[in-house]
Amino acid sequence: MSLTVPAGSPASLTARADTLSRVADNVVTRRDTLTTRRDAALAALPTRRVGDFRAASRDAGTALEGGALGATAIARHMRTYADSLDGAQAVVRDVNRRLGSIQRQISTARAEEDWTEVDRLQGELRRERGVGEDALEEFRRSRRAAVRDLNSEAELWVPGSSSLAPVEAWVAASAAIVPTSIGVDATVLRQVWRGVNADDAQQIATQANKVKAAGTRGWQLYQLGSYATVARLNRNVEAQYQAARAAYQLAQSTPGDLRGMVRAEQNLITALQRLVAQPATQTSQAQRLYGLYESLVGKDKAWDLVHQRFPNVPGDSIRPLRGPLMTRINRISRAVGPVASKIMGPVSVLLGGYDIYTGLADDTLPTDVRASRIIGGVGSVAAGAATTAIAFGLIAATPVGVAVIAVGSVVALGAWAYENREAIAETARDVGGAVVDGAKKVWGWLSGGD
Amino acid sequence: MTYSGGNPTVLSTQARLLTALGADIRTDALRVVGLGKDAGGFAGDGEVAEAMSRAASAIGGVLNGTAALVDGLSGGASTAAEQLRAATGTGR
Repeated sequence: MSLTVPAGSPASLTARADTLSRVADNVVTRRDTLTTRRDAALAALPTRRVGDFRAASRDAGTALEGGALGATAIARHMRTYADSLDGAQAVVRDVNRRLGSIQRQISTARAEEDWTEVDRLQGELRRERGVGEDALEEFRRSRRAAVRDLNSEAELWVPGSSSLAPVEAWVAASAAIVPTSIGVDATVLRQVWRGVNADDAQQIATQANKVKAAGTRGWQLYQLGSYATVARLNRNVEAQYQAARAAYQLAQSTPGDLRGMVRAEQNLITALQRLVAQPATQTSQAQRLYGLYESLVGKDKAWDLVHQRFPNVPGDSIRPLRGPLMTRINRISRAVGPVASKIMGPVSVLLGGYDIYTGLADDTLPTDVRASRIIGGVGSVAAGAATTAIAFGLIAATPVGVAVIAVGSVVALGAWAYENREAIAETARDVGGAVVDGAKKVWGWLSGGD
Repeated sequence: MTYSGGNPTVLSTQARLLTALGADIRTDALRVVGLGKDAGGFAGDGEVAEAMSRAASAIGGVLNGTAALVDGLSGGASTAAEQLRAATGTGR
C-alpha cells in the first residue's frame, strides 16, 4: 500500500554538481591563461605566422568559453534534478509513515468493529496517498525536464546526439572541434572514455596521455585544416536560436495555446542567451548592425545593407523580435527616423558651425565658455555631417559612422550643459548625470561591450 | 635574440607553457566526463543517468578538442622558434 520512494542520492548528485561548477571555473581560468600566452606568442612570432596563430587561438578561446558555459549549465541541471529528487523522496517517505500509521488505526477499528471510524480512516488514507502521488507526478515532470535540458546541452555540440551513447557523444564532440585534417583516433578515444569512471586524478592522468596521442598531429596539419570546422561552435548555437525563433513565431500565430506560447518563449530566451554568449555569431552581429542602421536609413535600407554584409544569415533573423507595443513604437520611429535624419543632420551642422563661429569671434564671452562652445560646435558638426551623409546614402552606415554621431552628440550636449551650468537646477544636473551614464552605455555598446 | 619580427626564446617559452595549458584543459575534459558518469550513478534513473553522462561527455569532448587546438598552438610556436634559430644560425 505504500508508495515507492524514487531512487537516487540527491546529496551525492549535488556534490558532483558543485565539483563540476568548480571545473567550469577552472576552464574560464584556462581561457584567460590562453589569452596571456597568445599575446606573448603573437608578439614574438614572425609576421607571416601571426594571422594563422591568431585565428587558431581565437577558435580555442571560443571553444573554452563554450565548454565552461556547457559545464555550468549541466551542473545547474544536476542540481535542479537533485533538489526535485530530494523533495519527492522527503514527501513520499513522510506520506508512507502516515499511511502506515493510518493502516494500523484501521486494523484496530476493524477489530473493534467501528465501521464509521474505518470509513473515516480510509478517506484519510486516500487523501494521504493523493499527496504522495501528486509529489511523484511533480517529480516525473522534473525528471522529463532534466532529460530534455541535458539532451539539449549535448545537442548544442553534437546535433543528433540525444540518440547516441555517451561515449559516441564524446568522440563526436572531440572531432567537431579539431580541424578535419587532423582527425581523431576514435578507437583510442573510446578506450579513454571507458577508462574514466569518476573524478579520479590517477585514472585521469593515465588516460590523459592516451587521449593526447589520439587527438593531435602537430601544427603543420593544423595549418592545413579549415577554420570553418571550428565555426561549428557558432553555427550550432545559431541553428538552435533560429529553430527556437521559428517555434516562437509559430506559437504566436496559434492563439489559445498559452502553455505552448510560454514554453516557446522560454526556449527562445534560453537560445538567445546562448547566442549572445557567443561573441562572434553572424546572427548577433547582423542584428546589432541592423539596430544601428535602422534609425538612420530606415527598415528596408538597413535590411539591404545587413543582408549584403551577412548573406548567410536568414533574412527574417536579421530583424530582432519585438513585442507588439515595441513594434508599434518602432514603426513610428522607423517612419520618422530617416526623414528626421535628413533634416536634423544639416541643422546640426549649421548650429555647430554657428557655435564654432561665436566661440572664435565673440571676445565678450569668458574664455571657458568660448572653449566649450567651440568643442560643442565641433561635436555637433561631426555628428550632423555623419548623420546627413548616411541619411542621404553618401556613405555607407558603419559602426564607426554611428559612433561619430553618438559621441559627437554627447560632446555637443556636454558643451551646452557646461555653458549653461549655472542655470541648470539640481534636478537638471541629475538628469545630466543620467545622460552621461547613458552615453557611456551607448559607447560601450557601440564598441562591443554591454 | 630577435630576428625579422620573431623572438625564438620567447616562442620556446610560450610553447612550453601552451603545452602545459593543453594538458590542464585535457584534464578538465576528463574530469567533466568522469563527473557526468559519476553523477549518473547517483541519479537513480537510467534515462537521467544516461542524459547526464551524455551531456558531460559532449562538453568533455569539446574541451578535449580544444586541448588538441592548444597543442597545435604550442607546436606552431615551437616550430616557428626552431625555424628562426635555423635562419639565424643560432642553434638551440
